[in-house]
Amino acid sequence: MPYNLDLSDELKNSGWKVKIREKERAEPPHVSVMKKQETWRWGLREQAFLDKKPPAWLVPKELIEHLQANLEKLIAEWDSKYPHNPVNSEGEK
Amino acid sequence: MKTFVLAENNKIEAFKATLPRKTKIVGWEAFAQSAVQTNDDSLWVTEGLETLTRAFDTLDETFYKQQNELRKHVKLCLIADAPIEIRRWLEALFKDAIIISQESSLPLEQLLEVLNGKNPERSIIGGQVDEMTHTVTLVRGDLNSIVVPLSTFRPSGDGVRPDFSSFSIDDYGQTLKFGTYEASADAVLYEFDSLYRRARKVELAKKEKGFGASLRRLRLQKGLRQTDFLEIDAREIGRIERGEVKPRKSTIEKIASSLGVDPKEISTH
Repeated sequence: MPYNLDLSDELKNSGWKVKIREKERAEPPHVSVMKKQETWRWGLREQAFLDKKPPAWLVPKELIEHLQANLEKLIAEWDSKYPHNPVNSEGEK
Repeated sequence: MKTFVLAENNKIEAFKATLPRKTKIVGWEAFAQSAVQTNDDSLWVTEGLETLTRAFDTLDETFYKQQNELRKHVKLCLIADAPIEIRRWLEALFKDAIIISQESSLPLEQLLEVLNGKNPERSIIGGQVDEMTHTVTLVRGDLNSIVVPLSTFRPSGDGVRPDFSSFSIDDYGQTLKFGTYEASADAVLYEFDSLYRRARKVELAKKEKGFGASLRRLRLQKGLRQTDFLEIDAREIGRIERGEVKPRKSTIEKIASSLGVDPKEISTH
């Protein structure tokens, strides 16, 4: 089953979710930040959003801080689902 | 395109209480008149085969005399497990008739949000797994379909495997579920729709340009290591991915063969 980052009640009630699913775009490693039909890819290496759209300013600051606070846990979850492309190795050389 | 929900007259009030306030809900009797009164394309969504079959009783000859207008402008989305006769009836009468099984459809509230959203083609609203062809046919929010081989849903590193007998859609069309296994609609569309891929590449914030970056993305999406390429040394693949060398045409052909794609496709990833 996918990894779901636990969020505050306020974020959950506003419809926000953070997931690492079994099939994502594998490169670069990321979490999917979701609200309704919009999805933002937040890079685990870059610690920043990977796409220009949807605009990053739509994501609450509190949620981004929560991602940064849980970075180690998110990296471990990504590495467990995608061992062929772990976050910290930056791939094969 | 305007979207309407078709409902039995005695259920309109119940729908109004649960669906978004802006939703236009119309009874079947009014549909027969109002659908043909506009020159703009319209999409009519209805749920349940029983609703549809009861509606047949309300349709008289006047309705069938308007079928040229229906075929020009009116699309219908039926959420039900419809038999072939119903499918034929709908396909003959409407410009487009999309039939989605109830089990795999988005809930009606989410479906309406997607249909009325900015990029409906980026969401999946329903689909069907076919074990005989080993594919899943996905219906997108713009009502076009895409066929995807089941082989793309590989087990994850932590051992979660897809259960193709239990298929559903979630997260406003952003997630495909096969039992407890979840796949990102974005990842599936990026892999199998070259137009979608082109649009998403333009949207990359920090664009990793060049053939090497594209090769790396495609290789990792297919779950391959640099050592998995026939006739090419892993160190050579690494140099190409880092942009240190420009591969020859013959090398690109060997790489494409190992990836199972056309050589021209690599740089689109």
